[in-house]
Amino acid sequence: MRKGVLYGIIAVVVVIVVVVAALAVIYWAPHGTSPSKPTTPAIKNPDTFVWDTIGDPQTLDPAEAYDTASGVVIQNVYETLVTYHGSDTKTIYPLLATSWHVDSTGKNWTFYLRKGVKFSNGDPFNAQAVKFSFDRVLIMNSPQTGVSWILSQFMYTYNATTGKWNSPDGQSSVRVVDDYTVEFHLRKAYGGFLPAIAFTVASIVDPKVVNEHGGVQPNKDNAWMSEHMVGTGPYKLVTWQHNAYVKLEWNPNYWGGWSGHHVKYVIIKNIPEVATREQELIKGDADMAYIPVNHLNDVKGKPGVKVDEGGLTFDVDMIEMNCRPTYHNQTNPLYYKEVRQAISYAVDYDTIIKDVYKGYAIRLQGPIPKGMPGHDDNLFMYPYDVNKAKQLMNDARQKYHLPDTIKLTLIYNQGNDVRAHIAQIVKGNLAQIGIAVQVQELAWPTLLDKMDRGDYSMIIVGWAPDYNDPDDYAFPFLASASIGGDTFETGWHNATVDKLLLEAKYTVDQNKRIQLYKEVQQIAMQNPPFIYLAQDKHVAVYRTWLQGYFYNPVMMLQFYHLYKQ
Amino acid sequence: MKLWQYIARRLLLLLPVIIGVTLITFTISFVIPADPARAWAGQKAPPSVVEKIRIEYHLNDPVYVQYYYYITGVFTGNWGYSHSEKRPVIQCLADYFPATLELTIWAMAIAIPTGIYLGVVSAVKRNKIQDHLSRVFALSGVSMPIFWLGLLLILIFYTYLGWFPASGRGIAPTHVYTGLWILDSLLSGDWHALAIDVWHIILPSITLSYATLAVMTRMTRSSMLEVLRLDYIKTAKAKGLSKKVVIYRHALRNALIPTLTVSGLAFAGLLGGAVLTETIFAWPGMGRYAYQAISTLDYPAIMGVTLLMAIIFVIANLIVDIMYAYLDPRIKLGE
Amino acid sequence: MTEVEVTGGFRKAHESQIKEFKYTLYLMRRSPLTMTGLIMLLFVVIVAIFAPWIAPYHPTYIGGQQYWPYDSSQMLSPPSLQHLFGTDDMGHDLFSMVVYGSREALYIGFIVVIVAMLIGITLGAYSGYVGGWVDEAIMRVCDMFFAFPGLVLAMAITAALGPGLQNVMYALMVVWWPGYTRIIRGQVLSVKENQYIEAARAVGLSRFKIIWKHVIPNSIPPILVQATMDLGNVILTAAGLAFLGLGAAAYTADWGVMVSQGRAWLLAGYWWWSTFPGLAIFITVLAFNLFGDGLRDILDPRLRR
Repeated sequence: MRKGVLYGIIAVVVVIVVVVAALAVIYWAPHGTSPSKPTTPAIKNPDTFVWDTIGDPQTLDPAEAYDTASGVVIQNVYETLVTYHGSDTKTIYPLLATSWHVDSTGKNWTFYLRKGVKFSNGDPFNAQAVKFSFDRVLIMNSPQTGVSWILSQFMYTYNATTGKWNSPDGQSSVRVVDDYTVEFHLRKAYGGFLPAIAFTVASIVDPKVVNEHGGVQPNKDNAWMSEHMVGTGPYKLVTWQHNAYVKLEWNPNYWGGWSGHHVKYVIIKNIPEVATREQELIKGDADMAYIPVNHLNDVKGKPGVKVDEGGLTFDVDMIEMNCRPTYHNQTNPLYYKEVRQAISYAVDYDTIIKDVYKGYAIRLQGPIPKGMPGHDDNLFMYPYDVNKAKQLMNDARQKYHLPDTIKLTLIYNQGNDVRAHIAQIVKGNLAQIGIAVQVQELAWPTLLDKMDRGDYSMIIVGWAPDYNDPDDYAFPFLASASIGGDTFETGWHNATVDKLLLEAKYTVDQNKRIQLYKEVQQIAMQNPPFIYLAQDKHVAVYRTWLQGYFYNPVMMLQFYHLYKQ
Repeated sequence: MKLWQYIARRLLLLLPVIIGVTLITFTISFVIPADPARAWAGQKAPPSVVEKIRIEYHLNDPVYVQYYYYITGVFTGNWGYSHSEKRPVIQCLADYFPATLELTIWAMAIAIPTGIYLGVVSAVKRNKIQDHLSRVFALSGVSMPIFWLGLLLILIFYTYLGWFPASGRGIAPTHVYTGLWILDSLLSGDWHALAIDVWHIILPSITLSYATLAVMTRMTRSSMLEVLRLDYIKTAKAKGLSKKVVIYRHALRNALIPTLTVSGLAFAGLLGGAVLTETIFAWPGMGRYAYQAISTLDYPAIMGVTLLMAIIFVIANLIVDIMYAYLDPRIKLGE
Repeated sequence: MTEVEVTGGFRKAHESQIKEFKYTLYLMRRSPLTMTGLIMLLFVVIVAIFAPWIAPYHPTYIGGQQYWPYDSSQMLSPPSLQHLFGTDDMGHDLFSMVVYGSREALYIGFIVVIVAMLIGITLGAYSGYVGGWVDEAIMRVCDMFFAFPGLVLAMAITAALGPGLQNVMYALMVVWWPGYTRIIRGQVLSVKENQYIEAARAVGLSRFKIIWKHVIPNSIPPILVQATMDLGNVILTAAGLAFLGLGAAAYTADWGVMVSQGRAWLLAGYWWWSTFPGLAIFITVLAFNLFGDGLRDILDPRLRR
């Protein structure tokens, strides 16, 4: 070989070696340097809470917002009539309303409002603002997200063509009695009324500001309101750099006052790469970071980082099964409850929780998650029992003349590594009982499309709470499509369950409701349309210098209680 | 033909290309197999909202009607509604475009001199080790997944050395005139923001520039090789001018014109690379926006980004052509 | 130099071409980077061909066995003798996946480039030869496609079609064909006016024959250079699409998917997951680029002395 060839090879080898060496050095370096680092680093930006998370708000208008990233900002700038405190999900506390009562029909509520509250621009908060805010949600009717359904399921709706309310007297559900008293006359008594109006959609906005900027138009968004905020809450919006960060600063007019410890500035950064979030947290540039459970080991034990396993979320994961009698013009084996039972027995729940969720989840006990009213601690859960599953499967094969090997597809949405992992495990599980699973990864819209058309066998799905009421879980999961349920299009229906669910929905007596939901869950467990996989644990990852953190599964993070020390 | 006539003619020719581009983007948006309205409304939205969206965005209309709405929209500034952001696409692009432009300008500013330098070195030292090393170095850039390089840089310069920040664009200067924050902070005299923003742009722009280095190097090298053989260079050498003077004053000046032309092409690579770089560095530009739009099938957004990038690219090439025509006297305008 | 028939008069008739070819080989041997590229390329191709014999496990095996009984004991284990490149967070052997991934990468590259080339040659030759409004129309369509940055157009198409390998390949074909069309057309135009073509036409040779016999062989050098560089580019762009979540499914033995899945773990100390497939992409694409760049130099008539 010539000298030139040699040079060329040397050149290529040098580049590759440099790359590999750089990686190797980087890999080994931290082991040598970490002990020498100071143990108590100085607090960075003591006045400011920096939160590295994912997702950009879609809109900051509470009448339209339906996503978490928007909800966080809204719940810290706007306030609702009632709220939850601390980690307590069972008790409703006053916020802008100081007290309330309901009559015996459960339809007529009276709220007495807090006095001396001002919006961040100095405008007064009063009963007119409350009426204005609720009416606005129903008139606007959230054309993009449909979030107004939460209120319209029990309040009178607005008819845009006639310009009248669809109520007997043509008036809206909310009446102003005096400056600090409002009455709600509901279309239907609704068991989840108070939890529902603790949701961001029921935030109180400043009528003056809205009327100055576009007012309220039926079935139309208010572009100004989706970018600007004037609320009664502890913070006000400074800037929203789309896709980059949201910056909030303290509202000096806040009625709760600023004595004690509170962060005065909040920066919510939108960072899509988990690796970047991890590094910023470890370096202390972020005070809190969203770290998915499968990455928690990366940050655990790092100096100055706290992994706070504070309770359970209401986020649940399930595998839905298509319960229609036929699928692609052939007998659908999942139509038979024995097959679905067998599958429920065959899934190795503990392995999934251990390996996929890394232990940061518990088994989901039925459709209503633990901690929510209506959850039944004694509800039957399918154990992992391969023999029982095999036996059930064999019986079903004979009884319904099913083939020896049943072929099913299991779908999940692209990019969801947790579900990809679950799918692989379930595939192995079901192979044990003669079900050949074909795992399919689909784009989210395609998946929704297939779900809508009932064109699937099994899909891994999840659900997160809108508000803290079992009706927000049991109804969409188990009610039949004919009464407005079956959000997942399982095709499962049961007349008794439908009756019980409707009754529970419109009962105000909470104890009675809990009984009804108990019955529903028992029926649904015997004939399961879902494989109930997991209820996620909440894991917050933040710097040890961050104080005052607590978690409530139905509330967004409250910055007001945070401080750095 | 005068220069301005040439420019006018080129601008006129741009129109059919842009219409063609809209045709392509529209066709792409039309092959979507799933129902976009469902995805836009979200999983929890009731069917009535989905139907409302379908009607509002003419999804039930025939193709030509939809194209009519689309093309009239493109020219009247109505580029559709971005469902992932719940606001018009044009507003989103107005927010994100300056960020991308700033990043690509910086990347160009790094890539052009470096690429030319490497090209000159490898031409002058043809077939020597310097030639090989600079070519391999430049080619490595186009051979590496750019997102992978970005992560390595974060690892080295943020995690271990702590020299540069890992994410974002820094802070907005006190007055935003152009949306290019570094320029704006200079204009408004906000030195604090200037320092922070320059700090933030270094890693992403290095990442992005590395991928375009090879094009510059290659072009400079081959045109240098050609020029170096020409008689007047040989004469200059014979006259006893120093090597440096010959190379940089005489040879490079003439070799630069082709390099200039490819810088227009390189711009395409930069825009494409920006999609990946922005995601890694959480840079709030059009690439990030497109990335986010993909997961929600927010295709008005994807189409908007694609269309805008195409338009920028066409214009960039036009500018290059004009400069080329201006610089190179051998080219007769309008031929 | 592409003639296959070897007749007695072949050597004589093509003397100059054979000489050219030999000279090319000589230049190539003298160009170190081209040779390095070629050697690296051969290495990758050999790995791809012999993947099942080189890889210790099947790429879908977890912990060295099929998916059940599920063995999670080897999740994210660092490189060792058992797992040369370590394992991912499900326990797949990354070495096996990288080895099998070479097949997928070359498959994508070759299919896309060959299809794009076929489309380009057909349209370009036709357009250049026929000229007139057909030429104008085809060229304007090419211009439209050239108006897009490649990755952006591919991204838009794949996003619309939905993620998946198949769709990625369709998208890349759409992006790559205009380049070849333009090159071939240029060649046709320059060759068309040559005397011998005129002569051939006078003799009454059909269009097809003229194009096939005289135009295509002359276009081989630039096409070859373009194709070699594009092979690398296609692989890299496919990896970019995988990064955007538009490629194959998670845990597929695809380099792009592996790098993009592993990237979340890169900074946290599990460097091997993303690094090895990344290096594989780097080496393969670099090989194509080195080889292509060298070829360009060698075949460039201006520099060929």
